[in-house]
Amino acid sequence: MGMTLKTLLIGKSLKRTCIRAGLVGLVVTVVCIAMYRPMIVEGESMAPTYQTGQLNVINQTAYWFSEPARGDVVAIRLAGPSIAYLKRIIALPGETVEIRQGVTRVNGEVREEPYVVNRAPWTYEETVLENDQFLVIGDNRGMPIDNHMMGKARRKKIMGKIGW
Amino acid sequence: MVKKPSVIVAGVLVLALVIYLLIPQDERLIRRHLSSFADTLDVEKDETIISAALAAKSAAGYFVPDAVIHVGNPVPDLSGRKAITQAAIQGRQMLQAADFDFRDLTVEFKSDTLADVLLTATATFTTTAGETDYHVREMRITLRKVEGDWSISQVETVKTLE
Repeated sequence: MGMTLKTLLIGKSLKRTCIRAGLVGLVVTVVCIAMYRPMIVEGESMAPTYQTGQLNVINQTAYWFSEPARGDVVAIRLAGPSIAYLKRIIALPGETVEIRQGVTRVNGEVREEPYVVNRAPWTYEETVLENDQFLVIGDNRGMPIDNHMMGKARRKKIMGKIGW
Repeated sequence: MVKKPSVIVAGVLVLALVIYLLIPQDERLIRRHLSSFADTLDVEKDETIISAALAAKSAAGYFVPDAVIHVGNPVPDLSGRKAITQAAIQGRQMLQAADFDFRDLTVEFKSDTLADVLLTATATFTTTAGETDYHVREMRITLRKVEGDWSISQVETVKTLE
Protein backbone atom coordinates (compact mmCIF):
# COMPACT_ATOMS: atom_id res chain seq x y z
CA MET A 1 0.00 0.00 0.00
CA GLY A 2 2.80 2.37 0.88
CA MET A 3 4.62 1.66 -2.38
CA THR A 4 6.54 4.64 -3.71
CA LEU A 5 7.29 5.32 -7.37
CA LYS A 6 10.94 4.51 -6.69
CA THR A 7 10.04 1.09 -5.25
CA LEU A 8 7.70 0.45 -8.15
CA LEU A 9 10.35 1.24 -10.75
CA ILE A 10 13.49 -0.26 -9.26
CA GLY A 11 12.17 -2.63 -6.60
CA LYS A 12 13.74 -3.15 -3.20
CA SER A 13 17.23 -3.69 -4.52
CA LEU A 14 18.74 -1.67 -7.37
CA LYS A 15 21.39 -4.35 -7.88
CA ARG A 16 18.86 -7.16 -8.39
CA THR A 17 16.73 -5.00 -10.66
CA CYS A 18 19.78 -4.21 -12.80
CA ILE A 19 20.67 -7.90 -13.04
CA ARG A 20 17.09 -8.79 -13.99
CA ALA A 21 16.97 -6.00 -16.58
CA GLY A 22 20.31 -7.17 -17.99
CA LEU A 23 19.05 -10.76 -18.27
CA VAL A 24 15.82 -9.63 -19.95
CA GLY A 25 17.87 -7.52 -22.37
CA LEU A 26 20.15 -10.47 -23.12
CA VAL A 27 17.20 -12.82 -23.76
CA VAL A 28 15.49 -10.26 -26.01
CA THR A 29 18.73 -9.73 -27.97
CA VAL A 30 19.30 -13.46 -28.45
CA VAL A 31 15.67 -14.01 -29.48
CA CYS A 32 15.83 -11.12 -31.99
CA ILE A 33 19.15 -12.19 -33.49
CA ALA A 34 18.64 -15.93 -33.66
CA MET A 35 14.90 -16.52 -33.70
CA TYR A 36 12.43 -13.71 -34.39
CA ARG A 37 14.01 -10.73 -36.11
CA PRO A 38 11.82 -7.61 -36.32
CA MET A 39 11.70 -5.93 -39.73
CA ILE A 40 10.10 -2.97 -41.45
CA VAL A 41 8.80 -3.44 -45.00
CA GLU A 42 10.22 -1.02 -47.57
CA GLY A 43 9.07 -0.93 -51.18
CA GLU A 44 6.06 -2.07 -53.22
CA SER A 45 7.31 -5.45 -54.44
CA MET A 46 4.98 -7.42 -52.13
CA ALA A 47 1.93 -5.15 -52.43
CA PRO A 48 -0.89 -5.52 -51.63
CA THR A 49 0.06 -8.29 -49.16
CA TYR A 50 2.73 -6.18 -47.48
CA GLN A 51 3.01 -2.39 -47.69
CA THR A 52 5.82 0.06 -47.02
CA GLY A 53 6.19 0.88 -43.36
CA GLN A 54 4.54 -2.29 -42.05
CA LEU A 55 6.23 -3.82 -39.04
CA ASN A 56 6.69 -7.58 -39.21
CA VAL A 57 8.92 -10.37 -38.00
CA ILE A 58 11.23 -12.86 -39.71
CA ASN A 59 10.69 -16.23 -38.08
CA GLN A 60 14.16 -17.74 -38.32
CA THR A 61 13.06 -20.91 -36.55
CA ALA A 62 10.54 -21.76 -39.30
CA TYR A 63 12.98 -23.89 -41.28
CA TRP A 64 14.95 -25.48 -38.45
CA PHE A 65 13.07 -28.74 -38.86
CA SER A 66 11.38 -28.34 -42.24
CA GLU A 67 12.13 -26.92 -45.65
CA PRO A 68 10.61 -23.78 -47.22
CA ALA A 69 7.32 -24.53 -48.96
CA ARG A 70 5.51 -23.12 -51.98
CA GLY A 71 3.50 -20.03 -51.06
CA ASP A 72 5.67 -19.12 -48.07
CA VAL A 73 6.69 -15.47 -47.89
CA VAL A 74 10.37 -15.53 -47.01
CA ALA A 75 13.21 -13.14 -46.21
CA ILE A 76 16.26 -13.48 -48.43
CA ARG A 77 19.48 -12.08 -47.03
CA LEU A 78 21.81 -9.91 -49.06
CA ALA A 79 25.39 -9.55 -47.75
CA GLY A 80 24.18 -9.97 -44.18
CA PRO A 81 21.06 -10.15 -42.08
CA SER A 82 20.30 -6.45 -41.61
CA ILE A 83 18.58 -6.05 -45.01
CA ALA A 84 16.58 -8.73 -46.78
CA TYR A 85 14.36 -9.13 -49.81
CA LEU A 86 10.78 -10.10 -49.05
CA LYS A 87 9.47 -12.57 -51.66
CA ARG A 88 7.06 -15.44 -52.11
CA ILE A 89 8.23 -18.94 -53.03
CA ILE A 90 6.68 -19.93 -56.36
CA ALA A 91 8.64 -23.07 -57.27
CA LEU A 92 10.73 -25.57 -55.35
CA PRO A 93 14.10 -27.23 -56.04
CA GLY A 94 14.02 -29.58 -59.02
CA GLU A 95 10.78 -28.16 -60.42
CA THR A 96 10.31 -26.74 -63.90
CA VAL A 97 8.77 -23.29 -63.95
CA GLU A 98 7.74 -20.78 -66.60
CA ILE A 99 5.54 -17.69 -66.89
CA ARG A 100 3.59 -16.95 -70.10
CA GLN A 101 1.36 -13.88 -70.42
CA GLY A 102 1.56 -13.53 -66.65
CA VAL A 103 0.35 -17.09 -66.00
CA THR A 104 2.68 -19.25 -63.90
CA ARG A 105 3.15 -22.93 -64.73
CA VAL A 106 5.04 -25.28 -62.43
CA ASN A 107 5.84 -28.70 -63.90
CA GLY A 108 3.40 -27.83 -66.69
CA GLU A 109 0.45 -27.10 -64.40
CA VAL A 110 -1.10 -23.66 -64.11
CA ARG A 111 -0.79 -22.29 -60.57
CA GLU A 112 -3.61 -20.34 -59.02
CA GLU A 113 -2.11 -17.31 -57.33
CA PRO A 114 -4.87 -15.51 -55.42
CA TYR A 115 -2.37 -13.17 -53.77
CA VAL A 116 -1.49 -11.58 -57.15
CA VAL A 117 -3.82 -8.62 -57.65
CA ASN A 118 -1.87 -6.66 -60.27
CA ARG A 119 -0.72 -8.91 -63.11
CA ALA A 120 1.23 -7.67 -66.15
CA PRO A 121 1.78 -10.10 -69.07
CA TRP A 122 5.20 -11.31 -67.90
CA THR A 123 7.29 -13.88 -69.72
CA TYR A 124 9.82 -15.99 -67.85
CA GLU A 125 11.43 -18.70 -69.95
CA GLU A 126 11.08 -22.32 -68.83
CA THR A 127 13.69 -23.06 -66.19
CA VAL A 128 14.58 -26.15 -64.21
CA LEU A 129 15.60 -25.27 -60.66
CA GLU A 130 18.73 -26.79 -59.17
CA ASN A 131 18.66 -28.86 -55.99
CA ASP A 132 19.09 -25.87 -53.69
CA GLN A 133 17.22 -23.24 -55.69
CA PHE A 134 13.78 -21.72 -55.10
CA LEU A 135 12.04 -19.38 -57.54
CA VAL A 136 10.91 -16.32 -55.60
CA ILE A 137 8.74 -13.44 -56.84
CA GLY A 138 6.95 -10.52 -55.19
CA ASP A 139 3.14 -10.41 -55.19
CA ASN A 140 3.06 -7.10 -57.06
CA ARG A 141 3.38 -8.07 -60.72
CA GLY A 142 1.82 -4.95 -62.18
CA MET A 143 5.14 -3.52 -63.37
CA PRO A 144 7.37 -4.73 -66.25
CA ILE A 145 9.31 -7.84 -65.24
CA ASP A 146 12.64 -6.00 -65.66
CA ASN A 147 11.64 -3.54 -62.93
CA HIS A 148 10.81 -6.31 -60.46
CA MET A 149 13.49 -7.99 -58.36
CA MET A 150 12.80 -11.71 -58.79
CA GLY A 151 14.71 -14.89 -59.53
CA LYS A 152 16.30 -17.99 -58.11
CA ALA A 153 17.38 -17.92 -54.48
CA ARG A 154 19.79 -20.42 -53.00
CA ARG A 155 18.59 -22.21 -49.84
CA LYS A 156 21.39 -20.71 -47.73
CA LYS A 157 20.11 -17.22 -48.59
CA ILE A 158 16.66 -17.85 -47.11
CA MET A 159 16.71 -16.47 -43.55
CA GLY A 160 13.23 -17.46 -42.51
CA LYS A 161 9.52 -17.09 -42.99
CA ILE A 162 7.58 -13.89 -42.47
CA GLY A 163 5.24 -13.96 -39.49
CA TRP A 164 5.00 -16.14 -36.43
CA MET B 1 31.53 -2.85 -1.80
CA VAL B 2 32.21 0.63 -3.13
CA LYS B 3 34.86 -0.65 -5.49
CA LYS B 4 32.60 -3.16 -7.30
CA PRO B 5 31.06 -0.82 -9.91
CA SER B 6 34.49 0.46 -10.89
CA VAL B 7 35.72 -3.13 -11.25
CA ILE B 8 32.79 -3.88 -13.59
CA VAL B 9 33.45 -0.73 -15.64
CA ALA B 10 37.14 -1.63 -15.86
CA GLY B 11 36.21 -5.17 -16.96
CA VAL B 12 33.94 -3.84 -19.70
CA LEU B 13 36.66 -1.46 -20.90
CA VAL B 14 39.23 -4.26 -21.00
CA LEU B 15 36.78 -6.47 -22.93
CA ALA B 16 36.13 -3.64 -25.41
CA LEU B 17 39.88 -3.16 -25.85
CA VAL B 18 40.40 -6.90 -26.44
CA ILE B 19 37.60 -6.95 -29.06
CA TYR B 20 39.11 -3.85 -30.70
CA LEU B 21 42.55 -5.44 -30.82
CA LEU B 22 41.14 -8.69 -32.23
CA ILE B 23 40.03 -6.85 -35.38
CA PRO B 24 43.13 -6.60 -37.56
CA GLN B 25 44.50 -3.13 -38.23
CA ASP B 26 44.03 -3.45 -42.00
CA GLU B 27 40.38 -4.47 -41.60
CA ARG B 28 39.76 -1.42 -39.43
CA LEU B 29 41.39 0.80 -42.08
CA ILE B 30 39.27 -0.74 -44.83
CA ARG B 31 36.03 -0.33 -42.89
CA ARG B 32 36.89 3.28 -42.11
CA HIS B 33 37.84 3.91 -45.76
CA LEU B 34 34.52 2.56 -47.04
CA SER B 35 32.46 4.35 -44.41
CA SER B 36 34.13 7.62 -45.33
CA PHE B 37 33.63 6.84 -49.05
CA ALA B 38 29.88 6.30 -48.49
CA ASP B 39 29.74 9.70 -46.78
CA THR B 40 31.33 11.42 -49.78
CA LEU B 41 28.64 9.96 -52.04
CA ASP B 42 25.86 11.68 -50.09
CA VAL B 43 24.21 14.58 -51.88
CA GLU B 44 22.99 17.49 -49.78
CA LYS B 45 20.02 19.59 -50.84
CA ASP B 46 20.77 22.67 -52.96
CA GLU B 47 24.21 21.47 -53.98
CA THR B 48 25.95 23.84 -56.37
CA ILE B 49 27.79 22.59 -59.45
CA ILE B 50 31.11 23.52 -57.87
CA SER B 51 30.45 21.57 -54.69
CA ALA B 52 29.19 18.67 -56.85
CA ALA B 53 32.45 18.68 -58.80
CA LEU B 54 34.53 18.84 -55.62
CA ALA B 55 32.57 16.00 -54.03
CA ALA B 56 32.89 13.90 -57.20
CA LYS B 57 36.64 14.49 -57.30
CA SER B 58 36.86 13.59 -53.63
CA ALA B 59 34.92 10.37 -54.24
CA ALA B 60 37.23 9.45 -57.13
CA GLY B 61 40.17 9.87 -54.76
CA TYR B 62 39.05 6.72 -52.95
CA PHE B 63 39.91 4.66 -56.06
CA VAL B 64 43.21 3.52 -57.57
CA PRO B 65 43.92 5.24 -60.93
CA ASP B 66 42.93 2.16 -62.98
CA ALA B 67 39.80 1.27 -60.97
CA VAL B 68 36.85 -0.44 -62.63
CA ILE B 69 33.15 -0.09 -61.73
CA HIS B 70 30.65 -2.62 -62.99
CA VAL B 71 27.34 -2.27 -61.14
CA GLY B 72 24.87 -2.47 -64.02
CA ASN B 73 21.86 -0.40 -64.94
CA PRO B 74 21.57 2.61 -64.66
CA VAL B 75 25.32 3.12 -64.11
CA PRO B 76 27.44 2.34 -67.21
CA ASP B 77 30.70 0.41 -66.82
CA LEU B 78 33.41 2.84 -65.77
CA SER B 79 37.15 2.56 -65.98
CA GLY B 80 39.66 4.98 -64.49
CA ARG B 81 39.38 7.93 -62.11
CA LYS B 82 38.51 10.43 -64.85
CA ALA B 83 35.48 8.43 -65.99
CA ILE B 84 34.42 7.90 -62.37
CA THR B 85 34.65 11.62 -61.63
CA GLN B 86 32.61 12.55 -64.71
CA ALA B 87 29.94 9.95 -63.94
CA ALA B 88 29.77 11.13 -60.32
CA ILE B 89 29.26 14.76 -61.41
CA GLN B 90 26.52 13.75 -63.88
CA GLY B 91 24.85 11.53 -61.29
CA ARG B 92 24.87 14.25 -58.63
CA GLN B 93 23.31 16.77 -61.03
CA MET B 94 20.32 14.45 -61.53
CA LEU B 95 19.69 14.29 -57.79
CA GLN B 96 18.26 16.70 -55.29
CA ALA B 97 19.48 14.61 -52.37
CA ALA B 98 20.99 11.19 -51.74
CA ASP B 99 21.97 9.18 -48.72
CA PHE B 100 24.28 6.15 -49.08
CA ASP B 101 25.15 3.53 -46.53
CA PHE B 102 27.19 0.31 -46.51
CA ARG B 103 26.00 -2.47 -44.19
CA ASP B 104 26.95 -6.02 -43.23
CA LEU B 105 30.55 -5.71 -44.36
CA THR B 106 32.61 -8.91 -44.55
CA VAL B 107 36.28 -8.38 -45.26
CA GLU B 108 38.29 -11.20 -46.83
CA PHE B 109 42.01 -10.79 -47.42
CA LYS B 110 43.31 -12.34 -50.64
CA SER B 111 46.88 -11.29 -49.81
CA ASP B 112 48.65 -8.63 -47.73
CA THR B 113 47.78 -6.02 -50.35
CA LEU B 114 44.48 -7.23 -51.75
CA ALA B 115 41.08 -7.58 -50.03
CA ASP B 116 37.51 -8.28 -51.05
CA VAL B 117 34.62 -6.74 -49.14
CA LEU B 118 31.13 -8.14 -49.48
CA LEU B 119 28.47 -5.65 -48.36
CA THR B 120 24.94 -4.41 -48.81
CA ALA B 121 24.75 -0.92 -50.25
CA THR B 122 21.65 1.13 -49.56
CA ALA B 123 20.74 4.39 -51.25
CA THR B 124 17.83 6.77 -50.80
CA PHE B 125 17.53 9.20 -53.69
CA THR B 126 15.39 12.25 -54.28
CA THR B 127 15.50 13.19 -57.94
CA THR B 128 15.33 16.76 -59.21
CA ALA B 129 11.71 15.97 -60.12
CA GLY B 130 11.07 15.39 -56.41
CA GLU B 131 10.57 11.61 -56.56
CA THR B 132 12.12 9.60 -53.75
CA ASP B 133 13.34 6.06 -54.29
CA TYR B 134 15.10 3.46 -52.16
CA HIS B 135 17.56 0.91 -53.57
CA VAL B 136 19.53 -1.93 -52.08
CA ARG B 137 22.23 -4.00 -53.76
CA GLU B 138 24.64 -6.67 -52.67
CA MET B 139 28.10 -5.64 -53.80
CA ARG B 140 31.68 -6.81 -53.85
CA ILE B 141 34.35 -4.13 -53.51
CA THR B 142 37.98 -5.06 -54.10
CA LEU B 143 40.62 -2.93 -52.45
CA ARG B 144 44.34 -2.73 -53.13
CA LYS B 145 46.98 -1.51 -50.68
CA VAL B 146 49.22 1.00 -52.39
CA GLU B 147 52.04 2.64 -50.43
CA GLY B 148 50.35 1.80 -47.13
CA ASP B 149 46.88 3.07 -48.05
CA TRP B 150 43.90 1.00 -49.11
CA SER B 151 42.11 2.16 -52.28
CA ILE B 152 39.20 0.73 -54.23
CA SER B 153 40.25 -1.11 -57.37
CA GLN B 154 36.96 -2.71 -58.40
CA VAL B 155 33.26 -2.43 -57.63
CA GLU B 156 30.77 -4.98 -58.88
CA THR B 157 27.20 -6.05 -58.16
CA VAL B 158 26.56 -9.50 -56.71
CA LYS B 159 23.38 -11.14 -57.96
CA THR B 160 21.43 -12.10 -54.83
CA LEU B 161 18.68 -13.60 -56.97
CA GLU B 162 20.05 -15.47 -59.97
